[in-house]
Amino acid sequence: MIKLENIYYSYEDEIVLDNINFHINEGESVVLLGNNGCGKSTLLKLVAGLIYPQKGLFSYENEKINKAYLKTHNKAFRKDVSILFQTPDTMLFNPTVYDEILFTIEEFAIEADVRTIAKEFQIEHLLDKSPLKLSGGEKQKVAFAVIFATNPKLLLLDEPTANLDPKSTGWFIDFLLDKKITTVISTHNLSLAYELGNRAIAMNEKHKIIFDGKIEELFQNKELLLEANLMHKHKHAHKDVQHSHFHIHNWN
Amino acid sequence: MTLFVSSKINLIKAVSFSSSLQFLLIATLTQIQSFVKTFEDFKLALKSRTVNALRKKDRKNFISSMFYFFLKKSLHNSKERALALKARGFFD
Repeated sequence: MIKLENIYYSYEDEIVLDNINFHINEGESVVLLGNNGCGKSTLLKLVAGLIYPQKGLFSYENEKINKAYLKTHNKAFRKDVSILFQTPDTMLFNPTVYDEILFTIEEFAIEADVRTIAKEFQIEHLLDKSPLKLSGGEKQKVAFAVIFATNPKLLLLDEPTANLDPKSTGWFIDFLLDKKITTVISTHNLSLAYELGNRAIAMNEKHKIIFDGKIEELFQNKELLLEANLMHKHKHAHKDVQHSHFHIHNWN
Repeated sequence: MTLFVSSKINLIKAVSFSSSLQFLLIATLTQIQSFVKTFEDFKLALKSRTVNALRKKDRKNFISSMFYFFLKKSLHNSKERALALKARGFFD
């Protein structure tokens, strides 16, 4: 479905993505793991066709994605590929939640009903409210409604549960698993990665991919987990005895 | 304009005669840098959600919601910074 070959991307002379290579098949659920600033969000934006690599090839459904292609196929590509930004505020700008969903329906000429979508995302009671006045979790749910409204074939989610409480996180996991859409999720939450991903791609501080394979294999490789900054060492006290050992935590 | 000036002149060095002013300048520049990144995200998020030319009212809504976000964020950050400075003994 998507293919990235020898991708390089730099921003203000700083390398953000260094020789990225992978392909994702339809139906896969891939989690992108790595420490802050390793390039996960940039990679999602690149796959969403929002930025273009300085070097390398990115293709979607065997079509090379670049400015020229998107000039003529923008609507079809944007309808197929939806991206959730890390900060939902950046995605919402309409006066009410109702208008927010309606904007997507009208923009993509979708035959759908705002209230039906709102019901599916449990945000019916927010329809008359301004997105600016909502809580972080509510904004995240509205952003979900907006990106799912186009019935995308490929979902790109940047820290999707960062603003959600445990109950809403549970709802979201069930919801996403039921949808069976090809998904790429960037997250620090390792339990979420385990729940949602059937494949993991880990990046290191040098902006390179250091692992691409089954998530269980990554979790068993201590050296890779340390390199991707997904594991750390700290002290513990057991009664009067203090020792230190390695840990995997679910940083949020 | 601020970004242009800060890219041409080393402002931090220029105010090195006062450590308080230097601290204030670093805090301001850090905030500007973080806002530039968020501003880029606003533009890209809009790009991802639109396939037609924006109508006048949508453009107006986009600009005003972005303005509201940055205003709210600036006020929140300013309050946090003032408390942090107070905690470090800069003022009572």
